[in-house]
Amino acid sequence: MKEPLISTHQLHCRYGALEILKDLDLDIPEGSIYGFLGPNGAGKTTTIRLLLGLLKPTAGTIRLFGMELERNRVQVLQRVGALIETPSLYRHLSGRDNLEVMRRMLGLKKSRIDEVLEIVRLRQDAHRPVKQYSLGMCQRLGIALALLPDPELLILDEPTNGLDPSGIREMRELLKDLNQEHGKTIFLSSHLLSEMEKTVTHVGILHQGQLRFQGRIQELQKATQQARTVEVEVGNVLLAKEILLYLGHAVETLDNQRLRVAVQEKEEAAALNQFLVEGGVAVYNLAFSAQSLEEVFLSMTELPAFDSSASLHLQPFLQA
Amino acid sequence: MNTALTFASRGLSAEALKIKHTWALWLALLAPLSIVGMTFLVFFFKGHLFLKSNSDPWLVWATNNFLATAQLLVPLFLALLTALVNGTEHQSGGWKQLYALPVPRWTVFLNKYLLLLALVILAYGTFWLGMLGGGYLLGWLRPELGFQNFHHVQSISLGAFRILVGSLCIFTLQFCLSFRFKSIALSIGLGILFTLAFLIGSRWEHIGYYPYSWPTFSAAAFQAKGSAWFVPQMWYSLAASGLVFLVGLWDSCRREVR
Repeated sequence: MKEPLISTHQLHCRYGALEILKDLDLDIPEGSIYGFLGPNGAGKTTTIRLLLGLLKPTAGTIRLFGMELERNRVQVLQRVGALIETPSLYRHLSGRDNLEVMRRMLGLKKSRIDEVLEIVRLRQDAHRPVKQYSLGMCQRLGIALALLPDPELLILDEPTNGLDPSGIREMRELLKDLNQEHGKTIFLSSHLLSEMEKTVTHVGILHQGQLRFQGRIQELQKATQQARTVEVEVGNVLLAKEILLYLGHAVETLDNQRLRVAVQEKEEAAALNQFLVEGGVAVYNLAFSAQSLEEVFLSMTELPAFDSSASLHLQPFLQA
Repeated sequence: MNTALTFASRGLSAEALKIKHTWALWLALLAPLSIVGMTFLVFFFKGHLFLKSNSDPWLVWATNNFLATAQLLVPLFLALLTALVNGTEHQSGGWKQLYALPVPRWTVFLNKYLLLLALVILAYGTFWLGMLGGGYLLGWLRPELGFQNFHHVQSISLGAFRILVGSLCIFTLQFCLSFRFKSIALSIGLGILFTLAFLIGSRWEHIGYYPYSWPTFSAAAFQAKGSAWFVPQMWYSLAASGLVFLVGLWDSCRREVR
C-alpha cells in the first residue's frame, strides 16, 4: 500500500494545562483534496502549524512524503506550499512585489511569478499595492505565494475565510483546478462542511482535539443514509421491536411507546407499517426523518468527545 | 558554507525589498542629517559668537555633532529603526510564513539582523559624509569661521567609527527586543527608558559599564588626546553585542509560532 503523503501518529499538543490535540492519527493520501473540518477551536490551525514545523508536538510523530518532519524540515518544506489563517502580506508592497520577496527568498526563476499570477487570476492587479486589495484578492494572493515554489502539497488553512458566496465558488474552482490540472495534493481546513462538500475527496472531522471521522467523502455520505430514520409510535413496543429486528432493521427504543428505526429510503416506512400491522401491532404514528451531510457533521462535532480508540470510525447511530 | 551563504544572500535580498515604500530607509538617511543640519544652522548663524578667531572650528563642530548623536540620537534612532523594520513582520503576520519556508530557522534572524546592520552603517556613513560636507560647506559659505584652513578627515572618520562600534550592543539589544515582542511601543519605550536612565545616572562612577553609555564614551575619545583607536567601551560593546546576538539567534531557532 502506498504511504500517505501526510501521516501523523498519536499526535499530542498542549499549551500549558490546555490539551489541544489528543492522539491524532491523520492519513492524507497523495492526489487527494483532504478537507480537515471542525468547529472553531477544534485544533485545526494547531494541527496545520504542527505539520509545518511552526510548533513542536508534545508527543507523537509527523511524517510528510515518508520523511520525519523534525529531522528533515528543510527537505520536506521544499515540497510544501502553505497558507496559514490570513495570508501574510506586506500591505505597502504590490502583489507582484510580495511574490518577488518570496521568489528571492527561495531562489526561484522570475517567470514563476507570472505563472502563479495567471493561475490565481491576479495578473491585472499585480501592480497595485496590497492595501487596495479586497479580501478575496488577498486570499488568492496568499494561494499564489503558496504555489510559487510549485509544491506537491498545498496546506491551506481556512482559504474561504471571509469570502462572499461568489468568492467561495471561485476558490472551489481554483482548488479543483489545482488538484486535477496541476496534480497538487491539497490539505485544507474549514469549519463549514457545506463549503467543502463539493470540492473534497477525503474528509477528516476534528472535534475537541480528537478525530471523529476520517475517510472518503462517499463514506461520510453513506453515513447520511444511516441517518435516515422512521419514528414509530406503537401499542406494544417489545413485539414491534422483535418484528423489526427480525426484518433486519437497526432499532432504538425511545420510550415505552416509541421506537426509532433505521431505513434506506422513505418508501420503507409504508412497508414497516404493513409488517407491524400484520404482526398484530397497533401503529398510532409514523414519522420519517433524514439528516443532511451538514447535520451529520454537526452531530459529530456537538457530541462530547469519544474515546480515542473509536475516533477513526463513524459511531453507529442505532444498534442492530 | 556555500549553502549558508546562498541562504543569507537570498534572504538579505528579499529583506531589502520589504523596506521599499517604508520609512526605514528615509529614517536611516534623515536621522543623522537632522543632527548635522541643526548643528550646521547654529554654526552658520551664530558660529562667530562662540568660535575664537584663528582657532580650529572643526573640533567644536565635530564635538557638538558627536556628543548630541552619541547621547541621544543613537539610542533613540536604533530603537525606532529596529522597531520599524521588525514591526513590518509583526503587522503582516509574516513570522509564520518565514518560519514555514524551506530555509534553516537561523536565517530568519540573521537576514533581518544583516539588513538592519546595513541600514545602521548607511546611517553612520550619511552622518560621516554630512559632518565633513557640512564643515567644508561652512568654510565656503562662512570663510570667516575658518573651516577651510584645517583638515580632520581622518580623526572625524575615526570618531564616527568609534560611535558605530560603541553603539553595536544597543543595536543588537534593541533588535532582539523588537524581533521577539510584537508591541512597537514596548521596544521603543524600553529604548527611551534605558536612554533616560543613562542621562540621569551619567555622573555615577560605574556608568561606563552601562551599554547605553558606551556610544558617549566612544564619542568622548575624540576630544581626549592620545586616545587609542579602541577605547574600553568599544570592546565591551563588541563583546556584549556578540553575546546578545548569540542568545537572540538561539532563541529565534527554538521559537514556536503560535
